[in-house]
Amino acid sequence: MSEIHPPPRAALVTGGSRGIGRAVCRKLAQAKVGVIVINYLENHDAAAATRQEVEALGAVAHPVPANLAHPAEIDRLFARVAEITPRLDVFVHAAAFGAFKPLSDLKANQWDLSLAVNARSFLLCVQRCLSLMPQGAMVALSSLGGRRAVPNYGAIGASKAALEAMVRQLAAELAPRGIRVNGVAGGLIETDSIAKFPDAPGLVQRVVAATPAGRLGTPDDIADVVAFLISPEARWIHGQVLVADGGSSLM
Amino acid sequence: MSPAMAADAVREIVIRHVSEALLVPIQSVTPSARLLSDLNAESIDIVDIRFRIEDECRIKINQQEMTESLGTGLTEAEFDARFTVGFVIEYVTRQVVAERSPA
Repeated sequence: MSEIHPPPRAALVTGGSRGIGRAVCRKLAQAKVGVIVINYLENHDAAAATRQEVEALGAVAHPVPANLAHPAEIDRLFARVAEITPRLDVFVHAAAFGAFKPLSDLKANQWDLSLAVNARSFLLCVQRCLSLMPQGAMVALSSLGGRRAVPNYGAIGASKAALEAMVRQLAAELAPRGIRVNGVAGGLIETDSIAKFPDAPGLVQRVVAATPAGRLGTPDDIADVVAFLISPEARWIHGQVLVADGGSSLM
Repeated sequence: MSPAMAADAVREIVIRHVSEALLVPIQSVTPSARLLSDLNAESIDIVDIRFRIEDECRIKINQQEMTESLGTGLTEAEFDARFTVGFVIEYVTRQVVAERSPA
């Protein structure tokens, strides 16, 4: 992708070690973001691999483990971010976790965990970003399941709907400070998470058949949209959740 | 903290979090209770319980290592029989003692 002018100096990507988060880290490095903090849960090998990819592209990468289900760990994450960089220009929330099962069978703790990791942590991270981000851009990764019925995706879908509502609200609150907040809603993306769906091969087949572009999305498909949303070319876009799904939601 | 003190503290913490996560009476969370078949824990519940214990005990639990310590090549029934509340208490106690011990 092309460079962003002027290049943002520092970025934090939650869930940055794998899947879409890793692709976002790579795009940021390609866009000449100088410092990228890669938050991840616990897969140290994946984080190290992402760091290697990012540093091969010329950025300095700092993997920082933190379990975003716990506010105290989010505090520790941001204490570390503040040691790494005095200023954040970009925040991307790619961390996601949750229960893949019908809502009718969902337990209270499964709901709580899904909402805590996907939605509450976005809010807590945004709040903690504010002291480090005099101006900048934030992007939350949502999914079509936040606005459509997707089998076994009820809990995560609800968390994504909450995320999208926060994107709109935060965009209105933070625009006067020079911070843009937007989201990207992808369809089914080729990541490890697909295997968590019951009948994953059947799901993939059905989604590809129902997607005009004729394939699943890739992490890079989404990361390119994130890179656009944080670029100056997106300066007039506030509080939007861009759908990037190969046209599947048109059908 | 001595191993005996750690075991007592961890026992209380594990039982409380299993009860709260799974919404089961604390009396049913006995050391011999099987997490999967007696307490109906699902895989995401195990992660939830682990997260709660990690947060309170300020340790990190490698879930793969924990389950592998039950034995390798187990049938589902064998895994279920060994994956008890008592096993989790013992495993977490070992982690806590190791974490708190001077290097």
